[in-house]
Amino acid sequence: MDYKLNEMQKKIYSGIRNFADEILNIEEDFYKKWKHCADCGVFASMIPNRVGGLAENFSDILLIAKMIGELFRDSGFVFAINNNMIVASYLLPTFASEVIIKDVYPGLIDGSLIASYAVTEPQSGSDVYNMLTKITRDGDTIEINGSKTYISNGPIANIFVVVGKNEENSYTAVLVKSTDAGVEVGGEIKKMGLEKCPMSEVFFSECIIPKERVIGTFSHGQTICNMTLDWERSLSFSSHLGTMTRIMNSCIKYVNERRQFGKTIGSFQLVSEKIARMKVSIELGELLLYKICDMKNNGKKTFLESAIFKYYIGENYTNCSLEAMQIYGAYGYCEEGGIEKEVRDALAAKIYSGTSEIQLDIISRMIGIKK
Amino acid sequence: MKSLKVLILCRPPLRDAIESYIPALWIKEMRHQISISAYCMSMDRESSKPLIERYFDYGVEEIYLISDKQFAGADTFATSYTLYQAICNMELDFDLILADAVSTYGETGHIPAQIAAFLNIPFAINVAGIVLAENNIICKQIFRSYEENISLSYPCLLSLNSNVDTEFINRNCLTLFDIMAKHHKEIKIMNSEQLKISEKQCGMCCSHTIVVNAIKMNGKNKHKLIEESRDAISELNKLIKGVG
Repeated sequence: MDYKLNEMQKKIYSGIRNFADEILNIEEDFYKKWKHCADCGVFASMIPNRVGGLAENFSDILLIAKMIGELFRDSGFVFAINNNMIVASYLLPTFASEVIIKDVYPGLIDGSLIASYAVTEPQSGSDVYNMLTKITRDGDTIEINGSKTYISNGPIANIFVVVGKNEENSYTAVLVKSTDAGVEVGGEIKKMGLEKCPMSEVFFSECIIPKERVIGTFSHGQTICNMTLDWERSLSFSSHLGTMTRIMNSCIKYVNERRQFGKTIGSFQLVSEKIARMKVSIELGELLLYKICDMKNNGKKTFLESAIFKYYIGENYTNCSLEAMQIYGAYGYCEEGGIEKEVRDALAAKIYSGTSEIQLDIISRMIGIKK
Repeated sequence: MKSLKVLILCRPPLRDAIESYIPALWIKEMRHQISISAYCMSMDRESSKPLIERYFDYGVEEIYLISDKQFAGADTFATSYTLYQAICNMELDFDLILADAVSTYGETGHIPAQIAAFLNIPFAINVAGIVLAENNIICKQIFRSYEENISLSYPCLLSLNSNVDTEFINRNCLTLFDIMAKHHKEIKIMNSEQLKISEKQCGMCCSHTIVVNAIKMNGKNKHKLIEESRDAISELNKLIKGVG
């Protein structure tokens, strides 16, 4: 296991940095940003080469996720990419049939399709398998009835991977298109951060799709759901690790320039200590990330490691943004400084993909504590 | 014309010297108008592979390095003949050959003109800008005291001016397709045997100009890198914006 970027990854980092500086971070319009990313190969780079992308292994994808988290200034936009990539970089390549792959991958690579993963329901958040959405078979077709909520990318997605309960009392995952009859996307749910990643409810009422849209086998849904949650924790939080690096670098620059009492504020130990702590959490987060990359590349299960990673980064990303605001002072509290947005974007990291408390519960169970 | 097959003739570039990659940057930009298959050819020692490898980043499909001890000491005529043989050996019927202006050792000189003569195709020097037309190519030539536009039919060979038209490269940015696709590409080495060139047809034996003496430097040429280009494209863009 190598704990640094290889030559190819260094070039990728340089390419993404140039793209971010010269094109992406200047553009405001969501769809133009999305198209720019497709044209630059950002989506392709996070999609395995066996389905038409450029990524050779899990390390490529997770390290690129970290790079975009650092270099793309809008964390909401990065969150939209990652919600797309939960489906495009892992779920479909791992479980979907060739028919589905051929149908959706050209669009996922050229950016004309946006994916969304729809699992959460009003009564089943942390208690994910308490879902009420019904997926039933009828000959060559599948019928979906129910509703999903807090669906990231909901208002902009063309394809949804929906998990529901089947008549055998197990779970099924299906691919649903936003254009399918019986699909209705609700209005955008307003939230305090991550504005560039819109969220909504999605309703399914007598939505009939061909049976070829079942992902994996009919009763494979719970396995797909568990493994995708594992991937989601690794992927999204790799980007957050990158964002922590950006916040830390911004703080270093600020404390070396801002002067109070006749000297730079970085020279005050109570200030520099905050940034040193950020560095410690980034360094430890990177070690965990490299461990996850190595295990995933070698086909090992990472359910425990991704839960630890999710918990550790979720907590530290939030702390990092709050400490940055403290360092920036009143300027950090103001919109102009950009730090208040970082805080608003970071706070949800302790909630989505399983709350911090749920991660600790998973960890405690996996190390042998009986419940 | 629906597609174009282009060969870039270059000397191994200086590290991060963007001038050396301008032909490739032109091609990258021209791809917005027309489908282009791009190839690159260089003649030097095998140790220069890392220097020309970067052409892959700019979307060149294949790179050929013409390298053999027998080629050592070749003058303009011998070098041109070797490159001409290599081009013939590729059997790719290029529509356009772009020769860069600057090499590691200075201006590339008369080699492109001699290759054009061997190939018997139209040729232009000091080309600073091009416009692709259906059956011909319009070139802006810059000379010391004047400029002119000329038209050449395909196939043709253009030797670039150091002061090229930067409009072509203004919007360029390496994509991840360029960077990651390169991963599987290897520079192809072609030696005298593969090119079917005998010892008498290349290198010192075929050269009419001979170096009779050289002063050897006393001790090592010590220098220290004090500032490194962060990235050639980025640096170039800054330069262009500054000029514009």
